[in-house]
Amino acid sequence: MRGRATQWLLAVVACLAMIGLHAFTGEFPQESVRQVQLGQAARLYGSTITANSWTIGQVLYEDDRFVGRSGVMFLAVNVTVATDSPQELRSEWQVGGTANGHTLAARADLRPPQPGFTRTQDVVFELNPDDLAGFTLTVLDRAPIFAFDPQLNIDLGITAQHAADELERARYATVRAASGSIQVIR
Amino acid sequence: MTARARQWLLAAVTFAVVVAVTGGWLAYLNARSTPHHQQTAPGAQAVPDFDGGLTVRLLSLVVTPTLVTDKEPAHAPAGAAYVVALVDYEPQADGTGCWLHLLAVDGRRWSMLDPLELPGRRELPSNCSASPGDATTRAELIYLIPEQATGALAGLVSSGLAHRSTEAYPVLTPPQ
Repeated sequence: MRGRATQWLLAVVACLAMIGLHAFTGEFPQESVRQVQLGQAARLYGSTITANSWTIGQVLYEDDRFVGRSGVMFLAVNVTVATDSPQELRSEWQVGGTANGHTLAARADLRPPQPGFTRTQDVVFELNPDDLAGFTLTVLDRAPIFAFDPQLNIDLGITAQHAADELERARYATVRAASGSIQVIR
Repeated sequence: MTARARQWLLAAVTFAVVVAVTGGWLAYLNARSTPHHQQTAPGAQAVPDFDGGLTVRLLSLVVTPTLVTDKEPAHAPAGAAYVVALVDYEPQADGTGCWLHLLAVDGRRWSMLDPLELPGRRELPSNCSASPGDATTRAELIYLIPEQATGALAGLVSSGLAHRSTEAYPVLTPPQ
């Protein structure tokens, strides 16, 4: 009886090990999520990301070029990315946002700057004003195989009261977003 | 030796073999997935990509703060510099490009600057798209790097790192 139980136990352990191995090597998509706050720097491979501030409005200009007037509203999150490590270059990150259970895509991708440089730029979303409170910026470095890809969830710290105040103040304002220029890390 | 001691010895030997095989396999996987580089002889031709492609020779690597174009000159941002890599290549019928990274001795690598980021055109093309029989088989690849890195450049390497092998990627070295 004891021998048979041991055999079953070994079989179960072997199955769990195979499932774990498949999960680790990418058969199942996995993200390794880190929560950070507005103004807090966080690493994503060889780069450091900091969300500095955010603004809202109904009219959008990108690099002084008129883009359009939204039927809802724009949210621009100012982000600084510094690449200060010799790790492998990443071509782009998937940038999005979540609020009220909705997932939103940014208007453009976020490209990490090349080694030794930093770039400050705005990431723009078009969203319903109801989704402003609790908005979280997500940055995912998706590898060719899915194996615990690192993802940053940056909480902008927008409370319901804060969102209501800002909507009252700047709901119809103009957002001036910048695609950003690179600077050397000193 | 008692039967119990023999069992313990057998278990220890089995455990040691499993550890050795697993360790060897992990070391091989690590070596296979970590890109290695090997410097070519100065000015020598090489095929930077493992899966074939262009044969390229690095003719010169020039650091400059300003690039002349057919319109206005392009100035590097403060603390940065342009690196112009002049390459000669053997054109291929399928028009294979030369997407090469600039490699520093500390392992940092920079991708080529998009020519559209410059205010005008340069004299030489920034790609290796000549066909066999064309007069010009030279191209210049332009990089923007921090000024403090200009003294420690190793050369040009393949931009593709997906190839898994223990073989080293050739690093194109300029003539001395």
